[in-house]
Amino acid sequence: MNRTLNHSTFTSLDGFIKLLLAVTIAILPFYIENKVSYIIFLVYLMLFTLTSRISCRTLLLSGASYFIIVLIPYLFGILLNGVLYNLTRNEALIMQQGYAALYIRLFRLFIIWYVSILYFHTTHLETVLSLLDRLLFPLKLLKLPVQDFLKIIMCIVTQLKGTSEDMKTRFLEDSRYVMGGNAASLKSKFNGISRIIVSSLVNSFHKLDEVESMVEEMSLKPLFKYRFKMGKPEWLAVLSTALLILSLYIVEKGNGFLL
Amino acid sequence: MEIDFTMGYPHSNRSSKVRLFRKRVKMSKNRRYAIIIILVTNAILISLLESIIPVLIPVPGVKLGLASIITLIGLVFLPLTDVLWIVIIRCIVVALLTRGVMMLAFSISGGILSALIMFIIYQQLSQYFSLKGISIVGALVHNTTQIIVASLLLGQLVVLYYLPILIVSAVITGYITGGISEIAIGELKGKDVFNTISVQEKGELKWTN
Repeated sequence: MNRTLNHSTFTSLDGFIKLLLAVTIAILPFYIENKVSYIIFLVYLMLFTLTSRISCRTLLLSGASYFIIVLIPYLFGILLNGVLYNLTRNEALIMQQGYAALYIRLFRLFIIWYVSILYFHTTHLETVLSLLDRLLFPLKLLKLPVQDFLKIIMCIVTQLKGTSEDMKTRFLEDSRYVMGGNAASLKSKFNGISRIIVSSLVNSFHKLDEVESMVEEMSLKPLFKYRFKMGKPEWLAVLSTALLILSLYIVEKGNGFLL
Repeated sequence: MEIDFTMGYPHSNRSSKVRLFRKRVKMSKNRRYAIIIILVTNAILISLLESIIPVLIPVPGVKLGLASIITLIGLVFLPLTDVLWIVIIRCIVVALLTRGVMMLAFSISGGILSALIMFIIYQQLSQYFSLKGISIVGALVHNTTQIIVASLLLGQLVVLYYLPILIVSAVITGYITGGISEIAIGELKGKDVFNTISVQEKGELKWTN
């Protein structure tokens, strides 16, 4: 939970420009069909990843949820569908969509997930919240407490940064002590878990005044101090994405664009 | 600035562990936010327990969902709006810090819908449902919503074949988290955590009922 950003050119890029580029890259796969386009796109994405210096471990950990929620049910479904079709020969069980179309859909979803991971792991949370504060202005017009909401998120992240490692160590110690190792029965394990949770909650509520002061402090100071900047790295990033779009366009149109 | 804040809701007289009570509390906005922050932080940290403690569920994609304990605690002690805030903020923070924005679609839809259904049952049908039952329904709604969202995103109904597995696992995990929540809520009441918060506010409090 303790998110630290690598210092790369990518990290220091303007948050808004980076957001625009991330959205552009995330939607590009919806407009390409040619195999060469896919190769160009993947090469660009690889360079994008290398420049961001994001660790493989982070990507794999974040990817686990995509794998668990999307891929496992899908692969299981395909397998079961195949088995049922072979057993019954029921035409209703034939896949409504070809496999190729489905793989492309999976690929597009994967890219949206991947680009969002790259964006959020290379952008300071303050910048993200600051941008959200501006982008969610229609909700403010509806008198929704957007700023309060974002400040709460900021406070939670601050709290997590301060407590996650301590808490993990304490959880480990407590679980060894309270749950009595592998030999303990399931019931005593669950009693142990509930005791850990209760003690964690009770301890947290002892700090209620402290957290309240943090909220008060946070509500007084201007939390969202994002300023738009357009320097050399930003121009380079925009230019590289423009080049990518141009090359994909050329490939998709079969060179017709230049002639 | 002070706002109205309802703390505590009536609950079944059948379930002896969670007894009927309703208190109306006037609490400062920052105090209320501090409670939400503490509960969300705990929900996220509690989910760490799942990675630390080996509770064997040999089905891929199935986990205990210990964070839902905080939702259940919220249902018992806090008003619906705050419970929804807790669910939404937890999903956003986890998405921002770890899973990425796409997973937000799954977690937020499942989280909000299950919290709403659990709230309705807790409010209206609590004479028929214990906290374990409410937790099972919540887990069922959560898993079903997630798989429907996955099916919509993929445009494939085959994903729904996984639903029976998730339903069975939801019954088991919902029962477990419901059991833990019952113990936790009982202990929290014993320790008077939420009442202590109110008593600390003595000057600002206005109790009714």
